[in-house]
Amino acid sequence: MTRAAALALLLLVALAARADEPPLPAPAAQPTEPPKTSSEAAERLGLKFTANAELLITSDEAEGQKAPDGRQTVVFTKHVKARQGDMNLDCDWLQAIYPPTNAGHPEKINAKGSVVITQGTNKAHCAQAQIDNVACTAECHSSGEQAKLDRGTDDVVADTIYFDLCKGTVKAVGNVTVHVREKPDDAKPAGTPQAPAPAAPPAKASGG
Amino acid sequence: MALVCLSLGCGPSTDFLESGGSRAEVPVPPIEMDGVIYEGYHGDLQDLLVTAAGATVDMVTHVANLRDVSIHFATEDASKVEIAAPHGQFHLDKDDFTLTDGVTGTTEEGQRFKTQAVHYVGSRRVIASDSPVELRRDNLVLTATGMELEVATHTLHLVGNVRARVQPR
Repeated sequence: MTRAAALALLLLVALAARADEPPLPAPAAQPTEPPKTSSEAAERLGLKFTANAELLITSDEAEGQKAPDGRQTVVFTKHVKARQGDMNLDCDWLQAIYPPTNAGHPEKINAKGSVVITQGTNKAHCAQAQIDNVACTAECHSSGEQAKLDRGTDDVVADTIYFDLCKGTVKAVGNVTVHVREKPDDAKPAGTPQAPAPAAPPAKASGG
Repeated sequence: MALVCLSLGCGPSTDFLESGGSRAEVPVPPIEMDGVIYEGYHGDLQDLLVTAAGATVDMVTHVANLRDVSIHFATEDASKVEIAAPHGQFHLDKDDFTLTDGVTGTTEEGQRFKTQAVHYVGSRRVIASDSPVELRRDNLVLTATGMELEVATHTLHLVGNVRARVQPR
């Protein structure tokens, strides 16, 4: 592992220890405890809604029903895709829950089956996901295999990954593992002329 | 389902609903009707009301060809579904309808839908369409290549290229 990757990993571990505290704008890059394997949390950039963008859901089939409490639900099945702004969601089954009144936009979305949420270079994989449009949050978890968030330079694996879709922050909880990938420049064979590696930028606890 | 004809200005006979076996051998000319109202009952509940500007009843096939037809469906929880079309066919022996040439519909929840043609299957109380369908509610637009609406439960099934588009407010 290169020095930059090791530093990034240490930063993530430092953030994991602070997962239950309010996000800080730019935490100091100080090494802390070694990585833990359970009940850890990491908080970094995740997914973010484009609130004023059109929501489009496509599938092969759908079923709409009215619940006893007046809420309308529409269940989409087979080749389900949802898109809002630059965020995409693919899954096998998606339930959109609409409020009794003002029913145009679903207040909650539940997705099951090979759920993949993509935004830019961030890609979350899990078996189930719940999106709360009112609270502006998403929860991604899997039974058996863990939920996974692939980002450009690192992967976060955990029992559950929470997203604040308004702030763009992410929190991973339960058996958290962070894999930091080597950058292409780091993989060059020894002896190859290259510029000095820049200092690693400070990790962010929130952003978007 | 019992069916009552309350036609205003019916032709010479309104007993066409009775499929008399002995009369089937005698050719009967079609019956022209204006201002047609049909009431359908499910037990004591009037669950079907059909109105049409006019109808031609073919006594051989037992099919009523309706013009400017509107159908109101009522459910046990008193919610309603209404569909309308320029033309319709009512199969008197089966309580089945086919509406064609541009069908529009509304539900009590404020959903509106339109499609080229629908079939109402009386035995299942289902409105079905094999034509592309568009449903709107508030800023939600649903489209598909076909649908089935269960009148009793208002359960809607959409099939084929389903698209739900929610416009931002």
